[in-house]
Amino acid sequence: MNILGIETSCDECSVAVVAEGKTILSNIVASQVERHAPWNGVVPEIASRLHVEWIDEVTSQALKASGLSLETGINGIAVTYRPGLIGSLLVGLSYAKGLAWAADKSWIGVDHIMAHLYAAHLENEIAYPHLGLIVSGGHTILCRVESLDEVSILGATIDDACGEAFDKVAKHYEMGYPGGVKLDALAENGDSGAFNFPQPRLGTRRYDFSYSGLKTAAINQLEKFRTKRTEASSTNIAASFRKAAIDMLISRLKLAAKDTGINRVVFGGGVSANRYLRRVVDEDSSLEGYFPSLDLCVDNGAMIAGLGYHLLLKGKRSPLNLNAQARVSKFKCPYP
Amino acid sequence: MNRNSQLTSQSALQTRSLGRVFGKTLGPGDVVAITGPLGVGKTVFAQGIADSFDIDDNVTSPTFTIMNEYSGKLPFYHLDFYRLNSPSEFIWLDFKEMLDGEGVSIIEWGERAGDELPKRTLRVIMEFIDNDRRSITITRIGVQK
Repeated sequence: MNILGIETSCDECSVAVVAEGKTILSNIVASQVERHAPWNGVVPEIASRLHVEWIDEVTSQALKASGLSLETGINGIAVTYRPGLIGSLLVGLSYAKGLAWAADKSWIGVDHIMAHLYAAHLENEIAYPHLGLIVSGGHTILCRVESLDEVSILGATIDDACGEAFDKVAKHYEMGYPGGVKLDALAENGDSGAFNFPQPRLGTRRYDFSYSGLKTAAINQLEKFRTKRTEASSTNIAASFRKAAIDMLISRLKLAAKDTGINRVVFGGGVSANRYLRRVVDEDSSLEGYFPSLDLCVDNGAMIAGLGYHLLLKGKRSPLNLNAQARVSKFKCPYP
Repeated sequence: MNRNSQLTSQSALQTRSLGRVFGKTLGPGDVVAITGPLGVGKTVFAQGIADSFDIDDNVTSPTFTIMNEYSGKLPFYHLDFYRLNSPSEFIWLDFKEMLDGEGVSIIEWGERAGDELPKRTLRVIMEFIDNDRRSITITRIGVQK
């Protein structure tokens, strides 16, 4: 069974064809990064307009690269319907509905977070249950994953997303765009002990995250947290910030592993490309980490098609009046 | 709390409490624009306002999605124009209908919408005094541009 997956929740316009939920026949990602670079961040208006311009062509390319035709080769369509930028989501969702209607295909709306949790399964055989850590510019979620559509949220950010803090610090110090990627690269040459940035104290919310205090410390209170050892260069700021931001993820993760007795962890989202995060997890023998390859960490159609395959196989279908949702409310335990 | 106030907060915790007190003065159709630099506590103040409307959910930064909608005693809209670059985008995003509804709208980086915000908008200006302290000034948008 070949599924066409469509993902337009933010600034990547991506369409993929995946066979049997596993084999990626094509995965086209048209990134808008260059279009947003002058503003150092994703501009929603630009994002949704570009999706409108690109989606048809990206779909044609994905079909062509897969060697299949929509009419005879594709068995179903999967599309992200939440969470994300509402205008961007609507483009992909409406396009998918139209395509499914016109070509008379089964289709399903897929949750973006669940799809990120599935991304590492495209390339690995990973047994359930496992823990999941989805970290990006819009999400910071730690969860327990029972199966591909049964997830309970253990913790989430109470203010800024992890990747958002990376982006804001990078923007403030003019490190370049996309901020998180540039900061990570700068940090490789910095001294992570130059600043002793604070970790949040969240009391009983032991799995939750908070990045606004760290962001404020790195942007406004450098002197307060400076150790005397080295200078306040952008490489040192980047290295110290990155260590504090990622160590927060690791501490919650290890706590969850200890509490649940589950040490298998699936990572997803743009921040899971972070080099320091990957090193720490690789070197920690108490964790069995699964990272998607870099092109599957970021938003992509393949993870949508992959998860969509399993949902369609179970007989699930979405109604044509399914609407896009910017965020999932009250998503704690269980998700969705 | 008077709607023209000059306050000083000693901590993030106190900023949230002040937001809660200020929130109690708000009702259906009110729009609040919060202005101030990164890290000054705009989201914390907005979380305090949300507390006063019994929002049964984590109120987190809306930077990524631009707008988060919550339900409580009234519909609660939490917006963030950090990523908007010109007032023309505000028009395109079609928020006006929502601002004129029955809910309460809190807009971080609201100044980026220029003159597109309604005249009744209340403006909260937050500034750094030092590491921990913040000055919080509340005015009507018409009073101070």
